[in-house]
Amino acid sequence: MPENQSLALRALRYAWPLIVPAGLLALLTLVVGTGDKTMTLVTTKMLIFVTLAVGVYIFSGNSGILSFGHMAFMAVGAYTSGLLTIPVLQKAALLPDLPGFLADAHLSTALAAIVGGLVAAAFAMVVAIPLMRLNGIAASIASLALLLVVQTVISNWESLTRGHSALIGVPVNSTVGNTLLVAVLAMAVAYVYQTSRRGLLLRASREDPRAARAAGINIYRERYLAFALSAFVTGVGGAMYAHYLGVMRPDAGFFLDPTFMVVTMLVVGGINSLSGAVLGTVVISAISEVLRRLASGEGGLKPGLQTVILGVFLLVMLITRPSGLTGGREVPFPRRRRRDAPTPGAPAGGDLQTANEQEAVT
Amino acid sequence: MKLVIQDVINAVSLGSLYALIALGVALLFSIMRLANFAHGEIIAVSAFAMLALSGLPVPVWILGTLAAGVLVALLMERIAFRPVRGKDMTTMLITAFAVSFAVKDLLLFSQGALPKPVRLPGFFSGTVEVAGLQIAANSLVSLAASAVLLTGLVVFFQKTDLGVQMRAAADDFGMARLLGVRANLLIAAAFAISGLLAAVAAILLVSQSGSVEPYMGFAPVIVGFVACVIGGMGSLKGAAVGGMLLGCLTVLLQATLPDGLAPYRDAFLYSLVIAILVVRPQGLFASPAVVEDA
Repeated sequence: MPENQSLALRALRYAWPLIVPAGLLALLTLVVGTGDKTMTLVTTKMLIFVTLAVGVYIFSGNSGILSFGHMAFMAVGAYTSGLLTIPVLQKAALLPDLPGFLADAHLSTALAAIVGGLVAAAFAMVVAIPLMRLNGIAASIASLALLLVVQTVISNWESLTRGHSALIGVPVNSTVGNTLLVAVLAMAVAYVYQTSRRGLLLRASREDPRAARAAGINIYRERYLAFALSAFVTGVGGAMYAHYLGVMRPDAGFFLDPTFMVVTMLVVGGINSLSGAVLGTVVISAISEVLRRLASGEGGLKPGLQTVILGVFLLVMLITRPSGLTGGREVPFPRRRRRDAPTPGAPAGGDLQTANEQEAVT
Repeated sequence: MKLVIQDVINAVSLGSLYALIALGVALLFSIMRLANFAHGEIIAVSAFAMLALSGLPVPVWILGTLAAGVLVALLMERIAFRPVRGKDMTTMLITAFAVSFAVKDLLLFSQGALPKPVRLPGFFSGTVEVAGLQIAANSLVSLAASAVLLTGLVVFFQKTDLGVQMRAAADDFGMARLLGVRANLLIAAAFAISGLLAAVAAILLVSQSGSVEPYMGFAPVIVGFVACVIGGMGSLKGAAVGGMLLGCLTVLLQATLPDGLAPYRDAFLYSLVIAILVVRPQGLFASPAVVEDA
């Protein structure tokens, strides 16, 4: 890397893999999210799922352990933020048995979302103590058990959540603007983490746990940190989701469907890169919306078939391109075109040179 | 005392049901490192087959249900799992996840989300009196079916060629293939057995609940997975023991939790499971190959 590069260029080069997807996402939001009411809602939901997918990516993408349990943190964030923002009088009517500090609490949505993320992170830091001791598939399954624990508790703790009677009255104020802001912030957190020393240590342990351990990396500690951070982001995403839905009921639609959607998004986009998480979310949201429109048309698709088609799509992706659309790579910084740049079909020597150059850049 | 004996019987019958489910999951995991999420959907499809066949004479009805389970398992293998065979564990896990959701939604779409009652033959309901104890008949059916199947599996694994090959493949699939084990046949057979176990589990589950619904496979497959994790992923013996342990813990919690906490039974159960894993993260009977992978 030449030393005479200006600081600005180096900063741009560093932030490039963040700026490009964030910029494209903002552009897409501007184009489709400012139209009619339906498109606004669809875009808002997509942006919330960008936050959720990025939240899961922070842990799963960097550690290589697929988590099926992150929607537990989404739910914790959602319920926390919901409980903190329902107007006090309405809360007294809905939930007469709330403990005093919760009954009187009324925060702004932004503050409540942050508190939701913090509560989710605190919860994650407790459950991570046993969970992060597990490896690979056992960890994935234990994370699913965690999801069930949380679902059971939320379904039955009626004095706090109203259980299956649904928590209503959560202010609906997730807009295209604030969800875009949260999504971009989530991406920034993910990018700073994955390029930080801690993130690199975890990524090293993903690539080769034995070598990483031999090099002195404490895998448990790195995973623990990533888990807490990703729970925070997922929790904030959950809070935004609560303020998008307005009504929360702890059923399969609230826990399992988002789990499936986020896993699909990450796998389709490419679970090992931030741009993959974002691209996957956009692609799957677009497909879902197209399917939904087909379903609502006369004599079109029946509604239940949407997930079937998404499932089949996921299968085809897994069979043909298991590393996702991005192949797990970030957006590369554009190289300056050189006069002697090899033209397509140039001799092998030219190709080799390009390959070496590319390696030097990344 | 009577209550205690009844609880013990319930515990063993639930434990053996869980062991059946866990074995179905563990069999595929031990041979091809596939954590088959879609096992729950094999259970659900078999249960809907039960519903569809419920007017027929009992033997036809049972055989039909078993055939449905085997058929669905074989179809899944051929369509979804064969193309990703040998890829890394996470890819196969997500594949299973995708199959699970696709099949579940196909059921939702074709059958609706509401539970549908199933008319069961008389011997499933009612109670039997043994030595002054009232025992639910379906506990006994469950016990008997599990005992027969578990014995059958032990005989299959110890005495038949295919069973021995399967154990060899579970130990070291590459080596087994080099020694002439036919991979496609073996894996298809493993799926068939897994489907059979799922169908039996479906019959037992429906005999307890009396109804079928598309989501019904989810909770059991989690139980099966968790049992495998407790027992040690990849160990058949571990899966059976893990299932039994989970069943016993469930009944124990049911019997001892105070009324206010009883709805949280599953939360306590899975928290206990996580506590077990703190002490033995590799499970009770870890298979060495899996520990090494980690």
